[in-house]
This record gives sequence, C-alpha cells and structure tokens, in this order.
Amino acid sequence: MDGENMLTRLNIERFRGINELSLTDSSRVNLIVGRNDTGKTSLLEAIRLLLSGDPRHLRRVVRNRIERRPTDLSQDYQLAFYLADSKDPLLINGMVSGIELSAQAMIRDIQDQEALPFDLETDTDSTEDIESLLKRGREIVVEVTANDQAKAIIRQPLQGRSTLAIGSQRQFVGVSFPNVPDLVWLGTNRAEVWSHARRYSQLYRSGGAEILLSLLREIEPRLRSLVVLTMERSGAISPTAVLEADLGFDRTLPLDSMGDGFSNVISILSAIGVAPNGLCLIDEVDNGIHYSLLPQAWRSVVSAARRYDSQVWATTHSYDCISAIHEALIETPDDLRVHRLERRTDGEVIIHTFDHAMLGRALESGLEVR
Amino acid sequence: MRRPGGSRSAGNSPRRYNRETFTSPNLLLVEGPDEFQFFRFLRPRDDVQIHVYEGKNQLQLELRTIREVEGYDQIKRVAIVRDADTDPTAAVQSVLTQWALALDESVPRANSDQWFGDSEGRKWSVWIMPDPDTEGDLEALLWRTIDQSDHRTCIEDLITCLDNCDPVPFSTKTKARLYSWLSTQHEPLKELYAALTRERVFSMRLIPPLLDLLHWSITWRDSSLRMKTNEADVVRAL
Repeated sequence: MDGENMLTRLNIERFRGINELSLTDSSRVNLIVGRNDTGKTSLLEAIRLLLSGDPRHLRRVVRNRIERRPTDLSQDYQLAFYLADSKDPLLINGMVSGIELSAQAMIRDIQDQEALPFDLETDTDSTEDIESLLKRGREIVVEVTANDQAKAIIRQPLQGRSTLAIGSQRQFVGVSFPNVPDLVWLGTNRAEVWSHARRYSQLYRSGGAEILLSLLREIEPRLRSLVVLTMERSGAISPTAVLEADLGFDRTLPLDSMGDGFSNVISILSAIGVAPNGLCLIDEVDNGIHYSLLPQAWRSVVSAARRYDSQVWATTHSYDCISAIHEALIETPDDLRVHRLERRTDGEVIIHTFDHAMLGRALESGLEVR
Repeated sequence: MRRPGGSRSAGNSPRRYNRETFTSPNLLLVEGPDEFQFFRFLRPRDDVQIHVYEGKNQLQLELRTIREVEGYDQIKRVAIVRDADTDPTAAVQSVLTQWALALDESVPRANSDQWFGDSEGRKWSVWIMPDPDTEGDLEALLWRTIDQSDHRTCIEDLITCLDNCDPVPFSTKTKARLYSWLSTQHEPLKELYAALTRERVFSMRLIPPLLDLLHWSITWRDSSLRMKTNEADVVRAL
C-alpha cells in the first residue's frame, strides 16, 4: 500500500462473540471468511468502534443483528460485551496510520453528572427530562487514546427508552486525532436509494465522480453518466433524492431497476470514493453480485482502493468471491490478505491469514479456506 | 476425508463446492494424483487422510498453506511422500529444507522413514519412492511389477525410439512408458487407480521396494512398535 492510512494491527478483547483475538497482518484489501458465528462482522464492528470511538455503534451492532428488541438501552449495550458480561471493559486497540489507537468501553453507574456533555439531546419524540435521566441509572463510557497521549472520554447515559444523541467523537470531546483515517461502513442493507444519491453527491463535489464512472463503465459499458434526481414521496412533506443511470436511452433508469449486483457495486465504489485515505468496511461484500461479475467487480474495487489510497475490509461466505479476488489481484498480489476466523471447541476464536500465494495454492489443491 | 485430494483441476475450472478440510489425525502428503490413487488403493488405515501437494516445487508453499486450513491443529502425524528421482538422499534433504523454511523451524537431521517433531509437537516423516536407496518414481516402481510376457520389451523399444526424437514428445520417460503400456491393455486403462483396482494389472508381489512401502503403511499403525513384517504379512495386509 502506497499510503500509510492502513490498519496494520488489531487486538480485540471481550467484544461480542470474541473473547480475545489478535490480527497482525493486513493489506490494502482484506477479506474476512469463516463459518457462521466466528466473529466476521464483529471484527468489522470492532474496527468501526476503534476508529470512531462512538458508543452508539455498540448499540447499532446489537439492534441491527438480533430479532429481539430490548427497550432498555443498558441491555442493548450489554450485548456488545463478550457473553453479555459487562463486568469487565471491552477493549479494542490497533495500529492505524502509524498511530497506536485504543478504545475501551465499560458500563457503570453514572458518575460526575456535571461533566456530562451539555449538548445532549433527546429523540425528537422523547418527553423525558434529561436532567432526571442523568440523576439515576447507568452510563456507557468509551475512552479513546492515541499513542497513549490524547485521550477522549465519550459518555452516554443509558436510561429508559430515550436515545441520547451525541456528536461525533472529534467535535464532541474537543480532542482531535487528525491522522486517524475516516471510515465508511456498508452493512448488509446498503441499497437505500438515498444513500446512493448522498454518496454520489459527495463524490461529485470532491471531483471524484469521473473516477467512479470510469470504474463502473468497466462493468456496464453503456453507462454514460449518473444523475441525482429528486422524487416526491407519497405522504412525505419533502422529496427524496435518488441516483439514476444514463445508459443512452430516452430516460434515465433508477439503480434498482438495474439489479442488486450493479447497485451493490456502486455502493462499494462510491463508499471507497467518499472516504479517501480511509477505511471501507463492507459486510457480505458479494451480496447480489453474480459470480461471473465478481472478478471485474473486485478489479474495480481494488482499482478504486488504490486510486483513493483506501483500505478495504470485507466479509464473505462465498467461494466464488474468494476465487474472484484471487484472480483480480494477480497483478498486485501484495494487496491481498484473506483472514479465516475459526472458533475452536473451547469457544476461542483464532485467525488464520492467507497471502495471495497461499490462497492460490489452497484454491489449486482443493483446500477449504472459508 | 471429505473429498479426494484435489489434483487435476486448477483454480476455477471445474468449480468445486465440497472442498477439503483436515479431519484425520494422520496426514499423508503425496506428490500427484497418481500417488494419491496408489496410496488410496493401499489404504493404510481409515484415519489417514491423503492430500496431494501437486509437485515437489510446490511443497514449501503447500506446507505454509495447510497450516492455515481448518483441522490442521488436530493433526498428530504427517508423512511427506516424494519421488526419489535421480538421487534419493538429495530428495530427502530437499523435503527437509522446504519443510524447515515453511514452518520456520531448523532443518531436522532425519533420514527417510524416520519421524521427527516440530515445535508444536506434531510428528513428521519423509518417505521416498520407490525406496530410500533407489532412484526413480512411482511409475518406475510399478513398471518393475509388470511381467516380461506382457510386452514390456515392445514398450521399451517404443520409448527408446521416441526418446531419440527431437523434440522428445514426453517430459518423464517413466510415466510415458507406464501409460503407453496401460493403453495397450485389452481395455485401455488411462487411470492408475483403475489399473490398480479394476484390472489388477500389476503384480504386487514381485518387488521388494513395494513391500517396503507397505511395511511403512503398516508401521503407520503404531510408529512406536516397528512391526516385523515379511512378505507374507504384507500380502495378507493387501
């Protein structure tokens, strides 16, 4: 990787289904594989927490992934801890862009109310009194350190049904980590028309739209341009923005009419584009992409990652996806690591890393790498 | 073992969906598909998994790779089978050197058929075919089991003639010789396994080196007890 905006080491302790895990080898493109319940998505979520320091991600982790919807914030957050045991803090640390970054989260009784951020806001429909919330109950605290010097403490009270919104780590605590790269998260549900339009608009403003178009044309040669249009929504006061494709027909076509695969590729490429020099985290990267398209899709992803000097972390269960990324990176084999997570019989998760040559050997000799 | 050792196809074609993990405590690493079929035919015992590493030049990378595959940590013993080629001693040393580089260990001092350990407590051994003192390969070994009456001389003459051509139309004389002979059988046999199992065209009792191999496979059953076998024992083991 030319740039230095890479996560090169990651340690996870007591986070979700992972008691302890250490990753010491990474590259520009990192594919995470393994059986169900080995912690693939949790690894992405750990990176997300480490770089953002935002405790709300811990709750999203839980709420996005389980059917049960606890109404108590404390319960929600508790499930982010290993075996739902928040007695000890969860800890994530790693080396990012040459910075030793650490995030530690704990749940405790609310302490030092006056020091809580003054700009807390409740949900728009919440009528609970913030002051009364703060006088009782628990709070989640995330402490972020960089090179053992800068320190940010992000606190969020956990009480009742209220969601207390806080700003981003940097504006909220007034501590900046200028060298910590941005990150973009693409969960399994990433086909929202609004997010397509938003990311493309960001790219357009930053001058990166043409790069995206050139990459997309390698997949859909008829593509002339992408346009952001507004669309009235029935029952809604304001219109929404949608992204449509100009393929040279009389009218532009909504992305969802072009299939999930193309839409997914646009999501991924635009996400990489809007976080230059950053990290792009993609859960189940091959969703909706036909296997025949995967090699070209990966070539485009790698090309985008190189142009924007980004690092990609993605999960998959698909052998076709693994095979395709091997094929796509033949010219630049050092850009690939495949990390296989395995849960041992004692419950511990261990990581096995394949470089491009090892992956090729495994594919050639019929060894399972997923 | 979930599937026969991958060997003939590469990469994406043909696509495979049932791929191999390690499920046995004993692993036999063999050079190619013919060796795979041969050892599958011998079937030393049920809890030995046979895996193809596809060529001596790939061994080091294969050893690095298998360490990351599911089930590797359950393996107790690994035997690496390699052709003697022109120098059995050099073949052993080559395997040991590749092994040490792949596993980040020091090069063990071991002869063929001797067990040695790695830093994780796993036992390893190098087996040379056709035997530790004779140059050659599996095909050479099997060629020696073919009776003179089965047109051996005709095939030898053919191969000698072709060997004088420019360019020589084969890369390995022993393979060309054996498969030429198989193709002349009543029902031409293209696969070694078919020849071994269906037609039993080879006379297994004719050669001592093969008995050594079988002795090894029996020895595998308990490496701490070097079984004293004779030819009759081995034949019964078949």
